[in-house]
Amino acid sequence: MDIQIKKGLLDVCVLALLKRGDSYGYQLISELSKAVEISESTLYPILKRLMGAGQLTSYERAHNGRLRRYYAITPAGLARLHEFDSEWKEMEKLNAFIKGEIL
Amino acid sequence: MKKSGYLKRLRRALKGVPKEDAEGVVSYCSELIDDGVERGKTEAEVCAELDPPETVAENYIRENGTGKANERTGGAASVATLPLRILGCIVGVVLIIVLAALVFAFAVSAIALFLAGIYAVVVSFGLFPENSGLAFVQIGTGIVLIGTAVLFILLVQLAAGLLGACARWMGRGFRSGGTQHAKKRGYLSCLAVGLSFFALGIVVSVSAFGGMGFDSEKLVVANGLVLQEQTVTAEVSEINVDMRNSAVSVEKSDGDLTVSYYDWDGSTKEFSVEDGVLTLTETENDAFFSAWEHGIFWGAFAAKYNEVVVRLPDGYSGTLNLKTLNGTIATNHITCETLNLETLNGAVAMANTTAETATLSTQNGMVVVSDSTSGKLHAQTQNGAVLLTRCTAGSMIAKTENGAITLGNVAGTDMEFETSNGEISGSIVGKRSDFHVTADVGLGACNIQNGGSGEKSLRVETGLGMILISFTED
Repeated sequence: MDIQIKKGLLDVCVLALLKRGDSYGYQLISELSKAVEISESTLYPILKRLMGAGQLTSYERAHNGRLRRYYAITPAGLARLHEFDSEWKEMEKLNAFIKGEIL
Repeated sequence: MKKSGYLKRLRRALKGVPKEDAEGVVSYCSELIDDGVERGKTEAEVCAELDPPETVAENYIRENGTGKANERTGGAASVATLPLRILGCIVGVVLIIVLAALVFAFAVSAIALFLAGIYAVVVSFGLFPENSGLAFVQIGTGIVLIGTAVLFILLVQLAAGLLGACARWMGRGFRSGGTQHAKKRGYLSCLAVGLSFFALGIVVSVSAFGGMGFDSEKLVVANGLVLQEQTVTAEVSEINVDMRNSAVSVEKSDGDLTVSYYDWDGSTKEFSVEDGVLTLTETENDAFFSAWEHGIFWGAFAAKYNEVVVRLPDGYSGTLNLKTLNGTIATNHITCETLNLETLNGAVAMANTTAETATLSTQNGMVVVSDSTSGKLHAQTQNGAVLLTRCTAGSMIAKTENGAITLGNVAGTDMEFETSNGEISGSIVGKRSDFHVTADVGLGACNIQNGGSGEKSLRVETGLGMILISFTED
């Protein structure tokens, strides 16, 4: 998949996962791996970027005698997901055009 | 690889990233490993599954940068380190200046050595028929110059390197790389080559000087230095020596009366014996400027060639007037009727001398009299000590303004010791009861009492200092 498209899609995938509920690094990778090839070294920059954009936040919670960082989606993140819906419709239109279904 | 090893490598790979951000990445990975282990894998398995630490760090830096100045995290960090960077640059500039001064000194000394070599050979040209040494001296100094040039290149390299480093530091931050090692090696080889040329050049120069039998003393001879040995057979009753920058000494002669001194460009003297009067006068002395002409070699010989030696036969019974401006005057093992020793800057010394009247005076220098006998002894200085040891005089006067007067077994019937600033101490031959004492201390202690009914007279006076006098027979 084109790296630029994949980058944008991965952001959305992470947000979508977090919409279902707060999660942590290991779990995020396991879930995402079902749909897309992703490694931990790619995930961290995405999380960092989304946090920088204010689309998700993080907090630490004790687990098994250690701290685990959980990530949660913010209203801005939800808005971004919503935006993606309309973008996707455009994408489908483009796809149809590429395949010659729209003349 | 275990968790600890993985994180260690990760931290190393994240060098240059601000600590806080780097720790974020590290704790993220640490948590992944812990979660993996919790799910039943071993640390090693989890670490093998994860991307290598270097890849993690690389991806992070590509996406987020190092977070240093002018990058994502903004100017906060750069503001904090700015004074440090300016300080670093100042230190760099100072280092460059110091290095420049060092190399400049090298260069100047090399050039000076070169010129001195040529000068020395040219001056002594007539003395050495075989002048092959000249070529070697030039080769040697040439090699020294090459060494200096190499050192200069080193300086330029260092300067460029330092400036470059400063510029890089001011900009994006200091990054060490493989090229640094190469540069360091370059500097070191430059230094080694420069120094070995320098040393080799000096060795060649010195051996060339030595090889051609270079005797710097011959330079002086070449400059018109002539030893004058005057032997006087005629009867002499008065000797007058009047010098400017020469030292004068009088010794005992085994035969005739002789006077020896050096005539040279820097000092011309007139010698005459007329009607029983021997006169030696220095008419001109520009030793200072001649010394310049002789350069560095002169200093070592100046004293030797600036001395007049009078050898006096036993039983001389005339007058001796010795005078100079800058130099010492000394007599040893002689006898005469009247002795006048006078200098302005220099010591005056009289030893084993018998004279009916002896007058010693200087302005800046000490006066030393030992093992001597006179009817009247007058020793005087302005700035300097007076030291009288084992001397006898009917009338003995010693005066100084700034300096101590020290007496060692002196004997006399009429003695007077006076100083403005200094101690008067020592021993006097005889008993306290032999003397009538007048002691006067401005500020200080005194161990002898005034008065007494003795026939001999002792007067001691100091403005500032102690009087500590003992009598040998008490």
